[in-house]
Amino acid sequence: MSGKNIRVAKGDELTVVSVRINGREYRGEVEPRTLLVYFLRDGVNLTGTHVGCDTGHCGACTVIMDGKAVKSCMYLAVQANGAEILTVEGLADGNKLHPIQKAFTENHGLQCGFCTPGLLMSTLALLKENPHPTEADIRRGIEGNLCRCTGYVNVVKSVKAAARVMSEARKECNP
Amino acid sequence: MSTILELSKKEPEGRVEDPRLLMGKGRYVDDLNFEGQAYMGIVRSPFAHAKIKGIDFSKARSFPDFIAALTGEDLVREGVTTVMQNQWPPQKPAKRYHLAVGKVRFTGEPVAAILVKRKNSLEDLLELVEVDYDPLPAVTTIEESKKGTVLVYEDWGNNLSQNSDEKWGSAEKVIASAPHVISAKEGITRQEAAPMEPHSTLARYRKGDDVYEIYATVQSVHGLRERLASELRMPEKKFHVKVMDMGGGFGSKGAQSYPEPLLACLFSRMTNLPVKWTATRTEEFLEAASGRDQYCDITLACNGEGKIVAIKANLESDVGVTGTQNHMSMLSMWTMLGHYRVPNVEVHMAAYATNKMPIGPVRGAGAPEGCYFIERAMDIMARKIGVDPLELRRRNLMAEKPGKEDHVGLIDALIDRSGYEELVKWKNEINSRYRLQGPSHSNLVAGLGVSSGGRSGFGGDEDQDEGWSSESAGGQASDWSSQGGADQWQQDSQDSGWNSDEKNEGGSSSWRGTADENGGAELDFESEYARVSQDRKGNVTVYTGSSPHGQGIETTFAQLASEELNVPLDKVSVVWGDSVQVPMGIGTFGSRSAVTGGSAVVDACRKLKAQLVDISKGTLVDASANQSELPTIAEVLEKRGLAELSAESIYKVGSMSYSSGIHLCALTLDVDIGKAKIVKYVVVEDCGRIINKKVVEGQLHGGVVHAIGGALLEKLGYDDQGNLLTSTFMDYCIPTPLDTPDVEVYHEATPSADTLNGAKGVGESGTIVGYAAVMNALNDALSNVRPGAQVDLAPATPDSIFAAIAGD
Repeated sequence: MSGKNIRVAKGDELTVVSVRINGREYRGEVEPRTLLVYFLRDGVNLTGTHVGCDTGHCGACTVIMDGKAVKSCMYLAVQANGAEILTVEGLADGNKLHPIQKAFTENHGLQCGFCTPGLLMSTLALLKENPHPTEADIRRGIEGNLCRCTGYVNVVKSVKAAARVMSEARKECNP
Repeated sequence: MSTILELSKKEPEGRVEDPRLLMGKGRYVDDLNFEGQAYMGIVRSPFAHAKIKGIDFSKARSFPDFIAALTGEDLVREGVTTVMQNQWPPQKPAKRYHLAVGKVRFTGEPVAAILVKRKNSLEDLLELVEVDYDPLPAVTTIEESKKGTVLVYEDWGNNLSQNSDEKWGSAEKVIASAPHVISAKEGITRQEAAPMEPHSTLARYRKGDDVYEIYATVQSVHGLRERLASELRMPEKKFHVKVMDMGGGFGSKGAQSYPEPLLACLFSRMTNLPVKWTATRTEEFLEAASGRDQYCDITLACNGEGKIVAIKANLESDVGVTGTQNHMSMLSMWTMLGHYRVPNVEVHMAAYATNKMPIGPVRGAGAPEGCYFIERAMDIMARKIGVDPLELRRRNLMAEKPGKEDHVGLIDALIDRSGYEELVKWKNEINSRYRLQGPSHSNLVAGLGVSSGGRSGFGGDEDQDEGWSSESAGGQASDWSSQGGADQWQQDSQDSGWNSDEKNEGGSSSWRGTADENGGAELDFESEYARVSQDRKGNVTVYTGSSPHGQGIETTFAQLASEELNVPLDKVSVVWGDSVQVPMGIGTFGSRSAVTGGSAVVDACRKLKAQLVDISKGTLVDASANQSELPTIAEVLEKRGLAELSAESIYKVGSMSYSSGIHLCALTLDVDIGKAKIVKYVVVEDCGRIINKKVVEGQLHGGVVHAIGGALLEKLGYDDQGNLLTSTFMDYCIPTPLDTPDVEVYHEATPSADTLNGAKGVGESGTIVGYAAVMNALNDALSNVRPGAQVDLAPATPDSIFAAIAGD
């Protein structure tokens, strides 16, 4: 995959950042103070990662960095140098929804959709760590993601459904 | 009762909106960028009340990233009017500009705007703008506002913004001799709508055709077009307003007149650059409309059989510097009698200005307060008489009437669905353990709370109107605008010498939409616009004035068209949020879209079908474009030389139909930490015909959890100088997954006779009814700790719970 040069800022002091995002290499020069979330949104034009606050509370900016769910508004782009990042855009396989995405649509786990990318990424991290979560595990696992529309009722239901489908798929792969 | 649960046969597995939103392909305003765009920032007042002595941009101007600046004086020079205010209900006009002129009146008020080249330098340059203030004493409470020592608007003469009275029968006399009388001081503090997406605007002035193209976070594109046209004194056709995906609104993106879209338009015209602005979360808390802030002294009287005989109430609201919309206190009055028939009523309402941000509608817009006031009082009464709270409601709720929801039937359904008797046993066990073992061994008490109602109060329910008018001493209950408020305002305006012809007077708006520019057909709150077209391939396009932001309207309106025209769902697309593609509209708020917008879609579809019959001269046409003996739409269109058939509707519903419901909340209260945990929450709801069950239940889940937040967590705090103390999600606590229960929803569906699709508005009912259910449960639990321990001001935060336990 060929690298894509991006330029986030035109300030005087720029730092080079190389990141692998959704399986593709990106290299760009950024002002050192650029937040990772703006590197993704403005630099790479991956606007699925959202900014709902600027204090790390809402979780709309959650991405997976080196296997861990992180709030990308709490990281500088330079801290992601050399990292591997997965954003919501990298979740589906072409137009085929990831089982988590499928569970969210089937269980009406989203309304306005603004917090949804963050919730999907937190769910991915949760189910990787704990493939069979209880309702309490789920609520703890997505605690860092705020949603004003769903009251979390169908979000929790969606995560449960995704866990079930994904663990069945694993059983089929490794009987 | 007749329970008709008619589920749509065509309810899809997931919503039409879902795939793009799930794959990160949604297009929210801040996701859009124009080549070469500049970034706008707002300088906000650090004082709640101060004179502006001077604004100095020279330091900011010395940086190469600085492009331009605007102040309030610039706006006056440009002929921009004061901030627009709705005409109904009457409130004193506030002379307030989009950027403060001479004086600031609330912390966070926009004072100046700057335009810069790069996003990263925006905050740097904002800090370099120097504003010289002369601080003034601030009015931060209703009590101070009433005294009028400090005036928010000098030309008013006092701080009273709005008032209204309603009276029939002789409440005072009846209360004096009634066997059961209770009085309570209740209130809901100021709370924020807090949609997850902050406000955002992207504006581009097109010099060639002198048109402003604006993407904005609004619940009504036509509403924004109307306000911009009025405030900038230009024709509406000069503004092309669009919204694509929107991350929630909850009232805060409704019809308020915010400065940013207007400022972005001006900057774009000044510089010929596209202009982008996105609020920080703190700016949201400082400026985006907050609501509630209403307090009520209520006296409720019952006769020996537990039937309500009189209500007397004094409602006071803190409306901040007053907003574009001002109907919230009125709606609280309308909903304050719930679905009860009350023969003697005396209600006084007064709204006072303070040095706080403008009040605005927040999910329910005054109805949660009204419902909370009556339903909390009902619980206090039940305790006083010694009857079960459900039983007291059963004795008072209006009985079944053909075509109307059966409120008493909802109680039966709730008892059945919630396992009420088991819950009472559960509660008693926990509480007897607490009493027997003592607080040193058990720190948990339990409570059950119920609440009944909906958005339709005696202003919106004709069933009740009939009851009222015959007993009302002061004219039709539904004709409130002729009551005291209006008269009082005229009086006040003469006293204060306000001249309504004064230059730069604020624009005003009714609910008329774009009537004048569209051939005289009028749109109001009870109506909506739709156009439905079908092309030669049978593809159907629905154009709606509704403006969804989470409500799933692309799906539900496609379902309605699919059913009416008998075409597959995937042949239907829904166009909305574009003031050119959709010529007129009201928008999405106030639980109105399925009712008005949905009815307009059905009406337009039926008109389209009628055309099919006409065109083929009395012969039916197969609109599904399937091969059959009937001519297909393709054949008809070809024969007629048409690209598509199209029909419009401006549909006005018989009356606004709102869902009503009854809620039950079961919770435990940890008396050591003053924190409640909701263990079961049950809703039995009558929202009429259900177009899409998942969507309806999603609205109820979110609505209920909004109320849980409002009852237990959410409080916009101010210090005595008027500084906002809660400007992040750290301090302003909206519910998290850990604070919230599963919400069980059951339906008793009586289709509305007033809407074409049988639906009743359900978007707010969870929030409206929820506050009282939670607060009643909490107070039921508290009564085990100390008889008489009571919290009547929402939210019931730990400190207020401890104070109630201590008897402070």
